[in-house]
Amino acid sequence: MEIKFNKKLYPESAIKLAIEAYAALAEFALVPDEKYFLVSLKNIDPEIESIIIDEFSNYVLSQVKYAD
Amino acid sequence: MENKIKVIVDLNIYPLEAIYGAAYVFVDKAYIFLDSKEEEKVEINFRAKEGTDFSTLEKIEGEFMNELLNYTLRLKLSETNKKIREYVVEQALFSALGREEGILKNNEEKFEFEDDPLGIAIPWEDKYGKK
Repeated sequence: MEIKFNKKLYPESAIKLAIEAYAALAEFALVPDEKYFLVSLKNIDPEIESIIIDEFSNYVLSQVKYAD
Repeated sequence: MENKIKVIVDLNIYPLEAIYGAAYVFVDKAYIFLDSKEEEKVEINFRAKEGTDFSTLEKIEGEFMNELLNYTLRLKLSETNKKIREYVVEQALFSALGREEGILKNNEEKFEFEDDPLGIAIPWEDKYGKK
């Protein structure tokens, strides 16, 4: 699974904060490309597999105000 | 029908700060994802959470747009009043500082450096006697 966060809209620090918070639920990898931060997820907790992308994205958005 | 709504907003009308602010209010009601494919435009994607039907999602989207307008207005007012606010705070700090300086000055005028109004320079034995 992969999520593409637009670099103009999502600060990297907000994504990192969210990865820290969700670390127990999946394995995350963050790779930037020219326009997006690509976040890939592996070994996701089966109980939340169907909602983790949406929940994680919401969490990133909520962390924007705490980002540098 | 899939429970998704996409709205495209112009950053010349709604600043990004306002979009973040409004999104923060609604993240517990719907899934919100932002993207931008055109310069100065932001796509706001709403997806319903479990148990939310499409009409409720439409209502959430409408409320979000109202909140976005509210945030935009607050940011604009805050920008407009910035100078006045700074002036008021500056005046308040300045007058408080002036008052404290006045108190210090008055105290300095009343006492010489050898004065001991609180009696802290008196030895214990002189003050309370020997045990």
